[in-house]
Amino acid sequence: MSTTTFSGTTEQKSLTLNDLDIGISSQGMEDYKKALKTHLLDQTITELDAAYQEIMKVVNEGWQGVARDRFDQKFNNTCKQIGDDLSLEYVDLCARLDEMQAYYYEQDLKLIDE
Amino acid sequence: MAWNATTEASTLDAASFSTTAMGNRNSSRSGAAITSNYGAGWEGPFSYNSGSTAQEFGGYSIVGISVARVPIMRQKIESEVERIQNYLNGIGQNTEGDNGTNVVLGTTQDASGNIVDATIAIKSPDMVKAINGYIESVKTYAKALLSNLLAFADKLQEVRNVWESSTQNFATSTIGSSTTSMADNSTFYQQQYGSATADASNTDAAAHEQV
Repeated sequence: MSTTTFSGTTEQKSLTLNDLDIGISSQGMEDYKKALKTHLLDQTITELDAAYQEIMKVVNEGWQGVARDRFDQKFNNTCKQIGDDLSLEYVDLCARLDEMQAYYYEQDLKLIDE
Repeated sequence: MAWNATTEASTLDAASFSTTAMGNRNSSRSGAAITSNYGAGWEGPFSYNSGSTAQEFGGYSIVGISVARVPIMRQKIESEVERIQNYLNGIGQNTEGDNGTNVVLGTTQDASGNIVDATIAIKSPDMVKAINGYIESVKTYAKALLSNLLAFADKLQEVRNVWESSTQNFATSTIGSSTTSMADNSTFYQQQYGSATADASNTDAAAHEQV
């Protein structure tokens, strides 16, 4: 009587996200968050800072005194607050994306019992 | 020949005249007490040294605003806010962004120029749609924050209005009321003491000649 031998487990083929219909890529997620930070956050803050400089350049050409100094300070503070708020929005967005990613991996972990 | 030993008193009481004139003028002066310290500089409520360095208030010897430039300042704020808002709008519309980068909703380009979007991270149409919708909300919030900067444009207009109205108030209430403006005071002086130029019809000049 012959004994049927089965081959061992197969090796995982390395798939890309494009090979799947449902899935998640941690590297892709990191790349995506990095790209969002660049365009949605960093570049916006850079544009905001450039706007502040341009605006105050024009203001300084026609106003002088303590009132102007205070206007400058308040305007600067408001721009910084906007930048800080956008940063908080980005951090919150990343937290949500990380949470979603964790769900995907947890789903994969619990799908088949050991 | 008889010497005329009889002297005549001048009919012009010069001391009385100047005392009366200065007294009348002094009684019409208002505001804080001002003492004259001729030769050492004018001593007023604010000491002013015209010799070495001028008194600076808050670090400035000159304060004020160019009224003509206020509309330019306001226009600059409005145009810059609009520019940044357009940049945010460009993220996601498959148009050329302000910095020349082609961006699509939720996408950016990497160094190689490849489009980077949410599909490189998630394979699920529903999830990608949800992520893009959330990013759109963040953009909307960012644009609302930027609109707060427009309040500074309104503030500039307010500053201009206050400068203009307060200057008018200074002219009437401090230098003179509406009935005693600088122009009215000038007329008052002329009526009381004659014109500024020497004139034979001037009372004091005519009286002087009699002496």
